Amino acid sequence: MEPAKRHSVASEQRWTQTVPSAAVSVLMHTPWSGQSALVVQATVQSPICRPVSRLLKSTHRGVTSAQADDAWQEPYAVSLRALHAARGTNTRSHRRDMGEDRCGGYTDAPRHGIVRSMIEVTNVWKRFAAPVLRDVTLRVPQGCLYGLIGPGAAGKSVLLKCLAGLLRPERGSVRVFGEAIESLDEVSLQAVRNRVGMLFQNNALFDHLTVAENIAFPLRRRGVTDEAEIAERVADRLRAVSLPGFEQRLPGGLSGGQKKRVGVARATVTRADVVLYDEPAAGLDPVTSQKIFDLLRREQQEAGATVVMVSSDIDRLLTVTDRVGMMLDGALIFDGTTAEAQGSLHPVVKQFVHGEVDGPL
Amino acid sequence: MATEEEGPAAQTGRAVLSLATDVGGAAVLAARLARRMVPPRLDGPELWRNLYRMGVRSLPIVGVTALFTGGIMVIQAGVLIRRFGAEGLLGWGAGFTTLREVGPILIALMFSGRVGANNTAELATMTVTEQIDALETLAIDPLSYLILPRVLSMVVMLFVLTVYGDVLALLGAAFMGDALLGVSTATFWNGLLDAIRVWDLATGLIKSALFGGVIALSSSHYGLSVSGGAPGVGRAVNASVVASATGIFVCDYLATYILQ
Repeated sequence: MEPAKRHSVASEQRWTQTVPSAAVSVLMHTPWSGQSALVVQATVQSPICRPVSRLLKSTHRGVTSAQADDAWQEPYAVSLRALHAARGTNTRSHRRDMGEDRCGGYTDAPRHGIVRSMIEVTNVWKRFAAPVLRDVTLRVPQGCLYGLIGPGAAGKSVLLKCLAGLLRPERGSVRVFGEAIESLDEVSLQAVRNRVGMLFQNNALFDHLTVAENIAFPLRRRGVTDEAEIAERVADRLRAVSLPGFEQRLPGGLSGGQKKRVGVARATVTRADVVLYDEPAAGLDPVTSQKIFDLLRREQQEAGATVVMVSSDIDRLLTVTDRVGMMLDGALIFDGTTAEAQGSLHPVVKQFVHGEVDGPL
Repeated sequence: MATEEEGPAAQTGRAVLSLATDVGGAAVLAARLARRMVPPRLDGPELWRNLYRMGVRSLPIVGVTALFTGGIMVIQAGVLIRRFGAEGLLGWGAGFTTLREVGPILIALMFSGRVGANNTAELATMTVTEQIDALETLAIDPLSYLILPRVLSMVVMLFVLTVYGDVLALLGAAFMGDALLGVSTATFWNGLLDAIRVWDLATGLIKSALFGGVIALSSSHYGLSVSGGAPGVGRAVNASVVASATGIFVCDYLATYILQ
């Protein structure tokens, strides 16, 4: 018998000793699909759920860790999804219209783990000379615009770079699309990054490329070769950031605000599933800042992207976020909805969100 | 960073650690680049762009340097040539020193100052302005896209520039020998071609390839490992030029010893 088959049989034998037989039969005789996942979710009700989902990942080729983790979802989420599916109301726009949430799930979804998290940060530690991230745990549901706030040197940008796989945590886990970033090799990491867009604090425009080439850069690297399509998408992005006609300018000849807007155009041109913004409105005048925030919100809603946004412009940030996390000295001291952040009685959060001079900060 | 309380031993230890960090960092960079060579994973257009700007744009400065180097060598040798009447040895003397030592070293130092420093400044600026990070988030390997084309370009173009510089240095020497010492160009070239072996030329070219590697690795390493914003870029360029020059002389010593 081939080694792979021996392994598979051994795994199945282990399941039959621990998992209810109904669930096992579904798993063994039907190909992996959303339906079979639902059956697993509905029948496996014990602490062995997590090991089962991991076994699924290890023994069924093509089952991603994200799918395997879906098997861990709580059963009543399944019934809610099934209900919506039957009514034809399981669409993002419908849920939004119904006021159920702006996080791609239900109002209390993240708290109960119903909605699949696009980003999961678990007990992450990172240090340079001193610790910069301390035991950070964070979930960002699919389709959520998550604002990350906090004073300077709180670890916000470091956390963002961990999400992009630019930094690897010393302890803990960072999962994006269900993939553990810290344990991926370069090739797998690049596959994840193909689905991530990022705007850097310094814009990070390539100096030797024109504005059009900068915006087209991610498209070309992702294999888009039709020059007419590239030109059209570049022009569309430039119109979106109110910079039409800037195609042939070099970044060196742009103002700070214009560079920022070109950076936004580049970060959004691929319509990535996850977009990370580090200070998207830093150094901009109030009007342009609000335009940028509105633009990012509109882009996020149209693309259905999951967004994490770091900004010091709290007032404007809170006008567009679904959820907010606050960091202080490398720790996440608050995680909740925007309304909860605005009404928080936590002295640090209250002082920071309302810009009060007196307080612990 | 050294503090006032640190004694000589601590400062020495810190310097040794810093040196080990830089040498180790450059070695790790070399190993990572070597991995990307099998099979070759590099950006073609970026390679051509670098070959042009590092090589073609260096032609004038290398040409001027080489011409004057040949001339200076004849001026220095003039006293002895006249005293001993050894006009026939002028071609051999100029050729031997130019092809084996002076040509590769001087051209490498010029190349380091012009191309190596520029490479460090460019990479360091890209690092502090997060352009390297941006490449990574765009699923582009900075080593394959940015560094490998630069390293290959530097090695190849320093080799080519050394050939070009050697020729110009010998032309300069022949011209100055005729103008200053009255040694005819025929005598100069006969003395050169009779005495110089192919190995003398090859020794210089092997050295130039080594120097190219040293300049490329040190300038790229300091560019990528920069920290501290704009002041850090200046420090990185300074450290890169010093390290390149030191590396060139150390490599020259070792290569001369081995290739005797």
